[in-house]
Amino acid sequence: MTSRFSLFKIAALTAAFVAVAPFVVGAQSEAVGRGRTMEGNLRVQRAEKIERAKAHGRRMIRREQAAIERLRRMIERVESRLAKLRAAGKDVAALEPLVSEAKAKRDAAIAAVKEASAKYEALGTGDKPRQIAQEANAATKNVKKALVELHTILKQIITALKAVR
Amino acid sequence: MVKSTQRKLDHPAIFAILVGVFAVILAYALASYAELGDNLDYRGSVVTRPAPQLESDSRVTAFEQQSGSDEISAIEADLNATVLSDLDADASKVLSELQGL
Repeated sequence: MTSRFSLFKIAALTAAFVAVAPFVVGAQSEAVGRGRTMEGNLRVQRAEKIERAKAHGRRMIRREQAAIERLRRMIERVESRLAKLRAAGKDVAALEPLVSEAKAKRDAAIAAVKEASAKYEALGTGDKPRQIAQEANAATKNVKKALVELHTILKQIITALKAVR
Repeated sequence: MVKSTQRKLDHPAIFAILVGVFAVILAYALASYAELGDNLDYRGSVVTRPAPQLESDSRVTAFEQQSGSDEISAIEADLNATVLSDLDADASKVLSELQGL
């Protein structure tokens, strides 16, 4: 009786094991698959976020480069006007330091925009893209600051040129 | 009938049943892993979609439009039309895109 009961228990446990085990193994396999899929999705999402951030950065860089080019051409036009006034015998020596200062601001803006561009392009290379982005944004603000100062200097030059006429 | 069952389920028979059970489980596990397919190879096959192309930027166009005259009034007009206030307007967007990274 005892032996028969033991055999029954073994048979019942084996049957239960056979019924349940495949589902457990399958569930574990699917969980592993989901985990790997999520890991892959996270990597893709990270790459896409960085690309979108780069796109915003590139847009700012293009605008700043266009602004630098615009103000650079204005400096050239101012120099052209100064040369004509000088040729006409006008005294424009007092404006030379302002023009030099404007060129220095232009050069500072060019250097800062190069730095910002390099940092935006490097967003995906490091472990801390947000920190790199903050540095890039700081360089972008330096570009703006230099351009605003250049703009102010050009206004001063224009005011002085009007007085010369 | 009982005696017959007792005779058939001796130790070698139980061992054979257990081996068979484990064989079935092993086969099922292998089949499950095989079905994962590319998911097991995700590390090597991540495809990044390209970033959307930048749209035409009216601010850049505005910067590019400028007189070539060296007349003071022309320079002054272009200077007054030069808006620099929003040059870094997208800086916050850069950071917000990278939120959590």
